[in-house]
Amino acid sequence: MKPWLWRGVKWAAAILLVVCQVTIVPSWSLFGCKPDLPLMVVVVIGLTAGLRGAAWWGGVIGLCLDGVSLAPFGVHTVLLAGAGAVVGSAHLQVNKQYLMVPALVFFVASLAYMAGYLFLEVLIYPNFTLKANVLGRGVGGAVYGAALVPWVLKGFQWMEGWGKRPPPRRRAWSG
Amino acid sequence: MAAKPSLWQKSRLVVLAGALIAVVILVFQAERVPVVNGFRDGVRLLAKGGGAAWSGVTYPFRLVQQVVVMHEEGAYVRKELQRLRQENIDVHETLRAYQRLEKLLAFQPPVGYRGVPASVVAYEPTNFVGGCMIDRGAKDGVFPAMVVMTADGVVGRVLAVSGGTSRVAFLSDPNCRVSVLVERSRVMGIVAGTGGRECEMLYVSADEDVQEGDRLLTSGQGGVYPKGLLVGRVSKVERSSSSIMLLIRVEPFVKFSRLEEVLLAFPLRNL
Repeated sequence: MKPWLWRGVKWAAAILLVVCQVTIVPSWSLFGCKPDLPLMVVVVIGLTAGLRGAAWWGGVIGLCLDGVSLAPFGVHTVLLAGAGAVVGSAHLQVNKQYLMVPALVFFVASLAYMAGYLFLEVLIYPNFTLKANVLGRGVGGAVYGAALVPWVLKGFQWMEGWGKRPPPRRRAWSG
Repeated sequence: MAAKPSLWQKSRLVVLAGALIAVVILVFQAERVPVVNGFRDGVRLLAKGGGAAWSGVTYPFRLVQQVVVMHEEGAYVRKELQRLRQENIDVHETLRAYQRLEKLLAFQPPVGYRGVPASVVAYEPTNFVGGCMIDRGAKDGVFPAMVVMTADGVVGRVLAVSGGTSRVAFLSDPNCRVSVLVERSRVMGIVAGTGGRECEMLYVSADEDVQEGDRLLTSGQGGVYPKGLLVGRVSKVERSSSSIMLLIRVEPFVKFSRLEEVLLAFPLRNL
C-alpha cells in the first residue's frame, strides 16, 4: 500500500473510532460509566507498536476527539499523545502474556488521563467545579475499560499475526 | 364378368349395425349381466393397481421436485420475512419518532421565544463532562448560551457553536447552573449539576418552605433561561443543625442519556 493511502486509512480508522465513542459507546454505559475506547486503542498500540506509533495514533485520535468534545481544544490531543508516548516507551518492560498486566496498565493510564484532563480544565477555567460523582464515574470508566482492554489487545495481536501469517506449505512433488 | 357379391358383402352393414345396437344394449343393461360386471371390476382393479404402481415409481421424483419447490419457496419466504421484519422496525421507528416530534412540537415555548427542533448526533466522549452535540449550528442562527429544552423540561445550554453543529452542556454537569423557583412556595435558588443523575438546589435558607415532590421552574433571573420552564422535582430535603442552608436533591425531568430530539429556544427579537 502506498504511504499516502496508508495515512488516509489510518485517519479514517481514527475518525471511525471517535464516531463509535460518541455514538455507540454511550449506550454501553454501566451505572453512568462508559469505557474510553480511544484510550484503550492508544494503550494497546503503545503496548504492541511502541512509542512512535502510539504517540502518532494518540495525537490523531485526540485531534478527532477535540472536534466533538466540550473540553477546550487540544486537551484530548495532548493527553492521548502523552499517554501513548508513556505507555509506548515502556512497552518492552511490560509482560503482555498475563491478561492482568495490560488491564492494570490501562487502569493506571486511565487515572492519569483523568487527572491530566481535570488539571487542564481547572487550569483553563479557574471556576471549574469538580464533584465526587465525576471522579467516581472516571474511576468506574477506568475499571470498565480495564476489563475490556485485554480483549482489545488479543484482537490486535491476532490481526498482527494474521498479517504476518506464512503462506500454506506446498506438498513436495513425489513423481 | 363381374364376381357375384358374397352374402357377407351384401349384409355387412346390417351386421355391423346389429352389433352396434347389441353393444349399446349391453352397455345399458350391463348391471344385469354378471360377465360384464366382472370384466369391469377386473379392468378397474388393473387400472387401480397400475396407477398405484406408477405412483410408487414416480414418488421419489415427485418428492425431489417438491423439495426443490419447497426450498425455493422457503428462500422466498425467508427473504420476504426479513424484508417485512425490517419494514416493521422502520414503521415502528417512524411512529416513535413521529410521536416524539409531535410531543416536542406541541410544547409551547415561553413567551418571546420560538422552539426550533434539533437532533442529538453525538454524546460527550468522556466520563467527566455531561453534554452532547446537536445538528444545528451558526448557520441556523444558534449562538452560545442559547437554551436547550424538551417538552419535559430544560436540557441545558449551548456551550460552543460551529458551522452546522453545536455542543450542549447538560444541566447535570457540575459547571452548568440555572436559577430556579419552587412552583408552590416561590422560594428561589440555584440548581447545579452533580455529575450524577441528580442535581442539587443551592442557596436555600433552612427556614424556607421546600418539600419533597415540589416542582422547580426556571426563575428567569440571570437572563439566560426564560421564566417558567420545567427543571425538575425535589427528591430529598435534608436539614442539618450545622448548616444554615438546606441540602436539596433535585431529580431533573429530562433523562439526559436518552435524548434524541431537543428544542432550541430562539429569542424572537433575534429572528
